[in-house]
Amino acid sequence: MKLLIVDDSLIMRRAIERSAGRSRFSEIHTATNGLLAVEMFARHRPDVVTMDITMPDMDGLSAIDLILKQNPAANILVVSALADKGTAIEAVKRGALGFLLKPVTAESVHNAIENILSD
Amino acid sequence: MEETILKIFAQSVTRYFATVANGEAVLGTPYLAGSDESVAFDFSAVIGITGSHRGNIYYTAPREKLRSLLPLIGETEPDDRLCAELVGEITNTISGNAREQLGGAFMISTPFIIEGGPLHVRAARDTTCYILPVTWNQHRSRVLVSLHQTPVNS
Amino acid sequence: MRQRPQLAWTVLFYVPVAILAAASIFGVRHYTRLLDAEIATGQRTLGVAGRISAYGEQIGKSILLIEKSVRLKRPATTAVYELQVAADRLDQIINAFNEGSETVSPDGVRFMLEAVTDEKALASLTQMNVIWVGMKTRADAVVLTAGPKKQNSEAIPFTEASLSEASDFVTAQQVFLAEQTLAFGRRLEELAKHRVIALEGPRGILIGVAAVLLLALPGAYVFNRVLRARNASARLAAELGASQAKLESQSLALSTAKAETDHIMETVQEGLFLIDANGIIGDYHSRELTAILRQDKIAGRNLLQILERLLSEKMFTFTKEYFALLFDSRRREKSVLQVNPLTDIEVNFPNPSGGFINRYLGFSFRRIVENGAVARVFVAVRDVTTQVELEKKLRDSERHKDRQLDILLGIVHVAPEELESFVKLVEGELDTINETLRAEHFAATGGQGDALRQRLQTVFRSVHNLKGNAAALQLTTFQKAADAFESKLNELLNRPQLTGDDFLSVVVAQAGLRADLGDLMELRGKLVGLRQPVAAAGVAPDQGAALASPAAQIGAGLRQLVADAARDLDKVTTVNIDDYALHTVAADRPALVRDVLIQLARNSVSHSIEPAPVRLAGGKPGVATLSVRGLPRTEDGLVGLAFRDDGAGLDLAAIRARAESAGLISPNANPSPADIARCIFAPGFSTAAQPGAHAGRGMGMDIIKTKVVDEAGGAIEIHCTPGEFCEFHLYFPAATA
Repeated sequence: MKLLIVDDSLIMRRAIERSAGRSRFSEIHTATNGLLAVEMFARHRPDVVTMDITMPDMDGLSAIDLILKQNPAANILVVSALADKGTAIEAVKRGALGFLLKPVTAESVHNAIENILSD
Repeated sequence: MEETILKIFAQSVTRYFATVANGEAVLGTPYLAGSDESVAFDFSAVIGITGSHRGNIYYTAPREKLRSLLPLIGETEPDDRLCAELVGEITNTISGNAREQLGGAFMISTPFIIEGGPLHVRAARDTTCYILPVTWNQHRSRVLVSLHQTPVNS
Repeated sequence: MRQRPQLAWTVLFYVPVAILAAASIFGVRHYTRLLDAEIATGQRTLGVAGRISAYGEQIGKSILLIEKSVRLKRPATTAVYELQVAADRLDQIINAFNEGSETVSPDGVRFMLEAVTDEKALASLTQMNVIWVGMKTRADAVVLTAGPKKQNSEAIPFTEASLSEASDFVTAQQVFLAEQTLAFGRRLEELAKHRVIALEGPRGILIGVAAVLLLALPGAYVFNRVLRARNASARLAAELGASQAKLESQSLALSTAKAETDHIMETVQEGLFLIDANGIIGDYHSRELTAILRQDKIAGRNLLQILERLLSEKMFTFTKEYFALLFDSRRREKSVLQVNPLTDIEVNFPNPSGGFINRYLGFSFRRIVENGAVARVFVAVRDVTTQVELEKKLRDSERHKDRQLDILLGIVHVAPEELESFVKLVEGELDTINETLRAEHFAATGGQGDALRQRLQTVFRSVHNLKGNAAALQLTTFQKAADAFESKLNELLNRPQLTGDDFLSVVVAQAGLRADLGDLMELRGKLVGLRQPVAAAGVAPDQGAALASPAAQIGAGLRQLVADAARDLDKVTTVNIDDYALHTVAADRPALVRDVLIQLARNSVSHSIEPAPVRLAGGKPGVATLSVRGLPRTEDGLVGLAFRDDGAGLDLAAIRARAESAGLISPNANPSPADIARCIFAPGFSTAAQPGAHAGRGMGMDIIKTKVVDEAGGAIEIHCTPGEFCEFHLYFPAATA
């Protein structure tokens, strides 16, 4: 299993990496903005993507569009601090499978990823 | 109106510490930023706000606070780089969380991180900068809210 | 909703102009299409007519060749064939002109040749028919006899003589035919010209109208049409020589229009473009569009997708719905245009260097209807950031104006020196408040509640003092703001538990007062020039000097305050001030003496002095007297002032009851009148039944005690005979001599 973590914050990338579980994922890749995320997705074809929204260069919502264009079956979990209902709805409308609100805990990240994979 | 916004940020920041650090953050008495004083601790981050409101949100904290917070989020070897990243992430989280009440039109930028150095709040003439002191585990930090509401399109 | 100038422009000017321009353009397009068709038909008809003499020539030539071949006893197969084809073709053409039929033009296009109806042309055609009948008879005969021998043919072979005769006849007739054809052709050309001119007239006018309107309203959609019209006119000019000059001038007009359009599209400060029902942007758009939308290569892209990135989610949803309405031809265009959600919409462009660039764009839309359906929508977009910001400033300033006017009216009557000291006082108190709030450290978590309460009381004192001074100067804006602030503080002080969150309203109220102070200072600056002549003209020099002295200022302020408060509270008062005594005490500490006297006077008028009827009923003069006089220097070297009112004085019973409920006096205790009176100096103590702008909330005495005793090292005595008078003796250390 491969995981792609997309977040412009190093703290978040590391936190998600720890929380996701090494045993679950044999490969973990990271990207710091939407553009790189799309590129990394094409290169590594990860099984799960965690996606921040507020990022430089390209935001997470646009990246979701482009990733799902590559692979409509991509498993994307949005991890964002944007707490308004509209953002969560928009993310799901665009094809994200889950929305996890920051601040996150190791447990909440782990559960959210497991949730996505169990579907 | 302004009081509502200050309340939202006060809640956002206390929620952050409740979730991440599993501890209570206590809000001190808020006050106004003076024009010529630095309000910065060792690490600060600023996020630009646009859309329904315009201005900036700052979060600033001393090194010791961040270093004692980092292990709680799993960083066992805290260093300055992680401290800087952490203030950025806290600022992002409390600003993003504010959208729960303020809505999607409250648009936030990515954080800009300032290490050390004096932080002079440069607010527009008609924008007041409020300082919300936050104490967690005897450690001080501050949330700075410098916003004004954008007139609604009629 | 207030009509904005830009909206008015849109409605009153741009919309009608746009409609007219659109109508003209469609008119031009319509006529151009007709003209195109007319030109093509005219050209083909002329071409066909031209063939008549050509075929006539061919027939003459073929018969000559056949004659020669017969003479030389050679087969004339090719010539006969050519003769046959030419004769058939010519016969067909003549018949087509006679009756009207589908014909093939010289350039190989099948087209409908109309029967000739024009008199002059008919005359030529009749002549041609006569000539042709003769030629045709001979041509047919030659083909029959000289052509391939037909079995069972009874035709008599042409002899050399008969061939010669036929050849001569045809050659002669062919010249006549050519002559008639020429006349016929000219006439046809004239007719074509007339028809073209008939179409050109309105079209020319429409082009002119459109060109003029284009200057007023440059429309991208015109571009295509004009270009097409220009191509058509170029062809027209080349192919119809007779109307060339006219057409050239028209072409010039079109070129000018196009050049103007080009110029406009290059330089107009608006984004102009067309979108189709899917939102796809057309090929032609004004250059400015790329600048407004901050994107290159806009043609062919989807406007909705571009907007999606720029608009808030909610606005984008509105926009999508609006676009659907725009292209829904069942909706009245007028209604749809009225609900345009994008008249001045805020957009947020991602800033390459981080953050956002915030602009306001104004979109306007016009439908382009073809065959009853909305084929495309013409979009004009402008960057209206400046307007919006100006309007916003205007609105803000309007909202602010009343307040500023209040402040302005408040300060015109206040002497500059008084105003100056008021500004200093407010600044000082606000700084005190902020300093109190900004002490972030708490001694211990347990004591936080008490620490917060103490802070709140400090803030209260400052606000209260500020309010008293504002009242003395009749600065009602400040007085009201401070009063509202006080109410808030009072409410907080009554809460059993205090947290940092409770102070959010305190800091906001403080910011409000600071903003008012900023306004006051700004207005004070503006008034400097205004005030000077008034002072010079109206005030005698010695009076001016008197005004400037602190004691005179305090006295004037006190008189004003008492007069205002008495009027509001329906009491009648007079104020006696020993100016010399006041001067002696106040010279070294004007602010303190002023603050203290203000609080005492406020309390007197609010609590001590009875309404005139009550006084009269009690045997007192209806007019109450407040007085300030000097006291002898004490043995300790303190200088003193007495403040006296001849009102009811302290209501000891009420003070005791209040003190007991506040826990200051035990209900079982047997306090002396002095002990009871002392309670009025306790923080938070109040006997006022109805707190108001003039009444203290008990904190007034607290301020006095703190300032006079604790801060200045003075003393306070109360001399009071309930029902008769109340006198406060204030002592201050004498100035260091």
